Amino acid sequence: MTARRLAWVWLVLVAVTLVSWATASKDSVSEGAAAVAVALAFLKAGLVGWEFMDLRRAPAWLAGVFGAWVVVVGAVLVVLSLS
Amino acid sequence: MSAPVVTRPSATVSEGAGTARRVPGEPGVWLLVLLDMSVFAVLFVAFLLDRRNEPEAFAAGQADLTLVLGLVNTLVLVTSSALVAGVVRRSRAGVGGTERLLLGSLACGVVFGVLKVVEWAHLLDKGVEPDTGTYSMWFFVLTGLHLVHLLIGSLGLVTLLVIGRRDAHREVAADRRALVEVVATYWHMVDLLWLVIFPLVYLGAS
Repeated sequence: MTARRLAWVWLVLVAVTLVSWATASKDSVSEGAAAVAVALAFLKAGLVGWEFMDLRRAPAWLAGVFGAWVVVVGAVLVVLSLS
Repeated sequence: MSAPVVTRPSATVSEGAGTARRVPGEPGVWLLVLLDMSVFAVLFVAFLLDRRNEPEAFAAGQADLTLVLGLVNTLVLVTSSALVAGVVRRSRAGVGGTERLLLGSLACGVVFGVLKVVEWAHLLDKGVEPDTGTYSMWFFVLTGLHLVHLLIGSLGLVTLLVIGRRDAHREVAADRRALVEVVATYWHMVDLLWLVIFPLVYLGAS
């Protein structure tokens, strides 16, 4: 990973954090906004795994297990946030 | 808040050796990381199921939190994770300059821990304790368990700093590079878990 790529990933993580904070930090937060914040968190978790933990260059089984955690747990938590 | 990695010229460090697929660090640390992530996943689901049963009480409990502390801690931990990724990058390339990055990531960890303790003290002052209600119980359990992981990860970073200074004038051994990747993998998990805890605990429907 180049320093430039690393810096971009960091910037995206910071930007997405600020977006989720801005959409779900009002006095009255809807279930939809809360669910979006959870979905964005799993997007960031996937990015941390793929880039920082270097799963993009890891064996398929490891990237698959990690990806399954992000997708399955993320989907369950988003659904639970909505209901 | 700025990360030194942002300004570091990329041309000075080449990519790691080869492009073959390999497990970062050791398979053992991944087993630990995936087990930890699974345990936290169960806790996250249980937290949201309880929230469904007591939405008003959870919203009231969430209102006692200082949101900006959660936001700052998220940014601090993301920055720390990026710095550690920079350490791995330089370690793989076999070049020096990792100490500043390690110190930066450790400093972020310390800031996170201090802010977390300040937040707990603030809540306890307000009379919010772990047995005050279901929400406060979950708040202290999730953030407390996470803080334990952060402390373990910080010990790992300190270990890398100590070993780095001891071996400053020797050629970097392959097993040390593996240790760097093990600690980094664990530290990224600490970051990743907090990324999920933040919206669940601080940004729920109210």
